Amino acid sequence: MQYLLHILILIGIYVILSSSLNLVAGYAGLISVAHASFFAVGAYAAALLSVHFGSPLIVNLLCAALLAALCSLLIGFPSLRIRDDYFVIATFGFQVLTFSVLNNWVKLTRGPLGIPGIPRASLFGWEVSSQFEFLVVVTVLSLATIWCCKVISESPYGRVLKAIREDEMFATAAGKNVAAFKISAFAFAGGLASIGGVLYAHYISFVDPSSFTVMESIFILSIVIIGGAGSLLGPVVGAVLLVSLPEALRLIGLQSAIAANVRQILYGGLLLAFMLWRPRGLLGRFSFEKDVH
Amino acid sequence: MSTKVWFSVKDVRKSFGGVLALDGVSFKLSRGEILGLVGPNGAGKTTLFNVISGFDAPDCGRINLSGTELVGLPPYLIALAGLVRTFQVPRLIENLTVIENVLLFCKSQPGERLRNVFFSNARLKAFETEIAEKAKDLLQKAGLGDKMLSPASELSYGQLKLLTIACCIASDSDLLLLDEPIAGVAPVMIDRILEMISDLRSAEKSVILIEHNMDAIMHVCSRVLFLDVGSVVCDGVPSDIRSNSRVIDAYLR
Amino acid sequence: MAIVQILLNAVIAASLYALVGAGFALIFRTSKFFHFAHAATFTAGAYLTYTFKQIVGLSLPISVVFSLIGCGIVGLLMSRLLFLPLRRRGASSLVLLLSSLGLYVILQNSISLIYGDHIKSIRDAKVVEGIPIFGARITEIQIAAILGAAVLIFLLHTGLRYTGAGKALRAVASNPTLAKLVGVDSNLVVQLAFVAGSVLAGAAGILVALDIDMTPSMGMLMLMMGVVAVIIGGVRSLVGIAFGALLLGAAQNLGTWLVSSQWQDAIAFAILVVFLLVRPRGFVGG
Repeated sequence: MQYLLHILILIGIYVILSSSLNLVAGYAGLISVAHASFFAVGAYAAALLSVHFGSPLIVNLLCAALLAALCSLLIGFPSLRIRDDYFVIATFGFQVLTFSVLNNWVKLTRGPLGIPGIPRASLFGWEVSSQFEFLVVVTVLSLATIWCCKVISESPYGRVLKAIREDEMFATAAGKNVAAFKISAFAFAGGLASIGGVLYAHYISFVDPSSFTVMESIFILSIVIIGGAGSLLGPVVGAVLLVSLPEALRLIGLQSAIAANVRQILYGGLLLAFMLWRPRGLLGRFSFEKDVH
Repeated sequence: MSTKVWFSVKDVRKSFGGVLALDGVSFKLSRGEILGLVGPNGAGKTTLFNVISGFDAPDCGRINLSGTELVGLPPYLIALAGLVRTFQVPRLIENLTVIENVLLFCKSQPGERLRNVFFSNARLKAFETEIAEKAKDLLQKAGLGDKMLSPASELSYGQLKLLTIACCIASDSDLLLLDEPIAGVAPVMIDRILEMISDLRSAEKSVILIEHNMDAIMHVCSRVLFLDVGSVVCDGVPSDIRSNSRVIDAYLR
Repeated sequence: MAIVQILLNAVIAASLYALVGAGFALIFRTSKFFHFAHAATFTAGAYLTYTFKQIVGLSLPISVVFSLIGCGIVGLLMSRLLFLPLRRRGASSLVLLLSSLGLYVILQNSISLIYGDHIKSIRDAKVVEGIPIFGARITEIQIAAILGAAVLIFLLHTGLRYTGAGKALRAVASNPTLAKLVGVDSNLVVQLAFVAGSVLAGAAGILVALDIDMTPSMGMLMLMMGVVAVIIGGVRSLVGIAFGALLLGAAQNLGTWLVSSQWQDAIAFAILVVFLLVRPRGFVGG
């Protein structure tokens, strides 16, 4: 039972991460390999705030979202105004930078040692103590994230994003400031992703840089692509599949020492297979057929 | 119809890697005028459109729309200044419905701001209903009423071209640049498209039209500009063009 | 630290960045996508040498030659089995990029599955003190890195300029349609670029491993530095890439001297952002 709850909580966190990335990758058609950075910003913000100040969940969420949105402007502003392929490079650079800062800014992050002893989340005086209660919080927040994505995709704002994804020139001819739309979508997605990080930090009660590598970014991206970019439920299906599938490996008795590698080879292989045979993913609306060159 | 000059292109030059595509193009346009832009392939017609709409930067020259200098502005600001264009190969968002494509062109929508996605109010809702009504009317008039909610990918080629013009009209721009609006379209559809273009005159809109179909040009244009090797060869009423020796030369060459 | 040592360190770092960057650029020019798995090829170079030298027991020079051939084969297989079939189906550059990401994940994890995540070494156990020049110290391996990079880049430069294959490659890079019309087999050229680019990446991987050992995840950071060098220098110019690598290496080592070595990656990112802002067309030329 505990184990099942654990899996469900992880799925909830990855639903938040992948749905927020879907706003950028699926609706605006931009591939980002920096999503683990925003995940990290959320996790470390929550860790530091609650360890040093014992701040409540709401405060952690708001601070993390704000900080993550600011970071995304740092990447989005120089790269999104110019060309799509620069965006991949800039996000890649930012991902490398994030990992390096987490590892090396020892005074703040304790480097590779990580930050242990993160207190449980507290919400208006209520301490989220049991795993079940935490699952409720995760579920509420992941539903809220999905709701945000739904509202955006159905709004005039979302209409412009989809137009940009399909044909930037057309959107420009319609008088849309393409760069501004991309930058705002990216900042919003960064903010949303940090929610996943905050929850992760409170749940695991320990953060260290190794959870936020390029691999993690590729993992979140794979969830979106395999589930189906540009659809509301695609990332949800992807998260359920990619988080629970490796658990099956454990059930068949794979050694935990190699399980992590096998798990990653599995999703790398899935990503490759989908690109070869079904680029739009399981439920996707968009198959990245737009050529940026 | 006012005869006041309201749109002007002055000595616009553009070259691509040493090849001169526009060699000092100048002309003026008044409100409500429908100008035909003709010339052989490679004369620089589409390049001129790209330069006017800001998608290509001219090497030099000035372009003025009712007091606003357009050269140097990014294309989306030019569109917001009241100039809309179509593309030779119709560009539309195939994954969006027909009416969504039209709505995309409505200007200054508060709903297109991210914060308004979550903090919607009555005025915003009213605005959305209003533009949706306008878009419906427009599509009814264009004869696309029954296709309103289908994805744009389900339209025929002629319907697509019709839709692009509907989009331009929805943008409420003062100047429309239409790149071959009837090329490759079935004859029944041509009449409808030409009618929509003619109607723009009475709405005090101006149009610049690239077209190879000379009958259509004669039908809707009050004035024709003949472009060859990047410069204006002849500027006059449609009948002038047919008798102009340099035009005949250019076509026979 | 003396200024000579800083310059020397900058040149050593730059030669490795330039190798990775040149290989990346070669592949980018012909295939027009961001080849993430290039990072895995880099790592593969190091681990192949480890296999030949430490496991099979061959001498270092022979291991290096075999490893370079191995990296070339890796590149060939990547292009033949994955990227060319995808291209044939009309895959966009984003699809190719995502496939390359997937491939990277598979390769890196396979390496770590086979060899483990711990540091592996192909160095001799003894600590090398380095040869003193102008008050600075440089090890033999570092000299080899500088010379090796210089020779490989010079060879590539000459090859691109004067050989038939080089001309074909440049033709495909600048205008694939036109190249096809004049009878250039673009598939062959893409494979050639993959082979050459992968050998360069592998060489860099081996040199890094000889200097500071290897881990399975060593490739990503190096790819990032190579790409930044390419952003600075422009994808079309090897001289530009070499210059970009020097600039990056110098900035990082100056930063290390002035502040602290922990900000090297931040300096690289800052340079990347600055160049994205001031040279919006630097990468694809123009």
